[in-house]
Amino acid sequence: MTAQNNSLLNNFRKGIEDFAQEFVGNSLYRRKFPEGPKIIHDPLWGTFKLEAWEVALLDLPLFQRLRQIHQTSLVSYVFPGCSHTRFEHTLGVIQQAQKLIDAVNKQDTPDKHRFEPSSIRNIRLAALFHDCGHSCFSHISEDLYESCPDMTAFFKTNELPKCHPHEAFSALILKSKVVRDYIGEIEDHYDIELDIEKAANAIVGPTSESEKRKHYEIQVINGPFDADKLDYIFRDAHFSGIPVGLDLDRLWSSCKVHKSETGEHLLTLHQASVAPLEQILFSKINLFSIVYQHPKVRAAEKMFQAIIEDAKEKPSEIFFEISGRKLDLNRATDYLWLTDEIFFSEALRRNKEDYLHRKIHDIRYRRLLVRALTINNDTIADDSGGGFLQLRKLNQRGYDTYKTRRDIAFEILKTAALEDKLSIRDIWVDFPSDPSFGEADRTYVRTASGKLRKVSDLFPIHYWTELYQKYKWRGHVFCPLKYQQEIYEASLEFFKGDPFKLRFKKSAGETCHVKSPKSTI
Amino acid sequence: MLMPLTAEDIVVGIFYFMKKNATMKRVTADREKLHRAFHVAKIDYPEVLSIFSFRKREIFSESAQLDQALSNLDATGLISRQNLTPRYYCFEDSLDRGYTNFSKRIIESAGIKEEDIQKVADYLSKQELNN
Repeated sequence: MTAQNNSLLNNFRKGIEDFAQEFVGNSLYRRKFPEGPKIIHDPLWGTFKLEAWEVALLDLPLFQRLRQIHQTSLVSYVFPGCSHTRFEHTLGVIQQAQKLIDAVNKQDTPDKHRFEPSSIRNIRLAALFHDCGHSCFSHISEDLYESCPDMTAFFKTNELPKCHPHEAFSALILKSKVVRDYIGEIEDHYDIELDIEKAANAIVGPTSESEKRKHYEIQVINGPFDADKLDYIFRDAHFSGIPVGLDLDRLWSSCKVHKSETGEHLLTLHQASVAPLEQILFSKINLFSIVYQHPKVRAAEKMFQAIIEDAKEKPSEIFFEISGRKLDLNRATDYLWLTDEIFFSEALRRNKEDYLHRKIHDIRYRRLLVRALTINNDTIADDSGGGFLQLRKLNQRGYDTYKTRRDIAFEILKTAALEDKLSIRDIWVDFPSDPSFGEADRTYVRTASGKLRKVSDLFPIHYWTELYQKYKWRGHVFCPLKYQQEIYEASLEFFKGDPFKLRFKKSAGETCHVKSPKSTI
Repeated sequence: MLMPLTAEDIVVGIFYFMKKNATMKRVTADREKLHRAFHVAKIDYPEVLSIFSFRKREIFSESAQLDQALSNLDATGLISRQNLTPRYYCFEDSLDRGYTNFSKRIIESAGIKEEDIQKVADYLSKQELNN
């Protein structure tokens, strides 16, 4: 390991500990441990109970800061009701985890339940911590800190299994010394035992063969129909106004632990109860297509990315400050300090003529970028196969594809000869990643013969989801409204040449409402 | 502008040689079989398949890059699921053009030899991925 890598890793670990110290260890924020449970009223799931030890954790700034992070990034600028936060979602996941646990226990004999009180506590601990590592606007900042050198260096250590960066943060915060000490105090006070390692493994996924026998415990938080998924699909759909039909009672009533041929004890469904899983997948497709990948939502997200790009490139001018601490957004751990509220309030620290003030207020007051070109199966010439693949492949995650998308935006800007009027931060080429639909391969059903089979063996769900992605997926070029026609024409010109050789139908401009759309076929 | 190497280029190359050398017309669309086969192949051919990372969430290791690549190849018509055989991806003629006109050069520029892609294709051709 090089000295530079060592230094990155040391700073990364120190960054986690510093954050945990401020948001968990700072005695100024400590309250007395509550003596009794608390009743929570949730608009989605109704009333449920949190144990006193959970309230002692929930009261920490570590979890209260989740009230400042929207669950669905900037979706509320398009779907006004969709302004719920990671805090409500976290509570919902605890409740859904308990529902799943109760359903499985109900299938067992009353004297021998599959989930014992100690494992239930660990699963609820995992549910509570599972999203505490999220930063500003949830997943859109995740795409940005994922490529920070300290995060890249950490993932290379293989200390954790491959997981999402926010899951890594959540598990590492849970395993930090400060949190361990605090949980130790909770254990003493309430006379309970909590297994931090088990809870962390439930967040990032299984880490050892020995966990095979208890794989179903991890699946409550990290599985094909886990509590996280059940809550976010229902909650996002409910608050965006796109209601979904999910027969959860049916799902729970058929949920049982079963041993697979390879020895894993898994959560399984009865063959006759597969419909709720299909409903989950269909709802997920709908949410991605209608809500998360709505062009205006994507445009707002690009404007946020533009600001973070600026902050990374010119840290002395474009920065966010919290109580005198200047955030360095080239360090992944500094993103933990950034919330939606802190992002927007930075504008108020600056005067009206300030660049960052204007850029933040462009988002806040919805002066959003517009579409200049739509790229999908319906707008490009039919024989574009190879060239279209070269463009569409840029929806793979990672720094190289991100950089190429930015290079293409710059080429379009140059083709339009607008370098003196627009900046590269005003032009965005957007290719959304396809959501994963692996659930059908991870869900096992009990057949009438008593054998376990994958849902995808019984019905080719991927065929169905791929068709949907093929026809619903849309890539775009975004730009300011004033230059829409020029950027549209420049995009057509640029994509016509090497390396893409793409020709577009008139609909590529019509769908964006450009003034003079045309066909290049 | 030279495009970066992505999982799509590697999959296009492998499928191209499966079609050409092993005269395969289709490959299974069973996610588990495909992901398992690529995961095992990565052990023998780590450099060619280094772009694929695998996450062991459940019973078998899954690669987000492979999922996205298959979806992209399908969406752009280089492979397709046929109505009566949705359990297979059929190799289309545009797969050949996609390789020779685009991915071949990108793979070579990334320092991966064509013969190594062929070796992986040969290896995967023997894994009964066409039934």
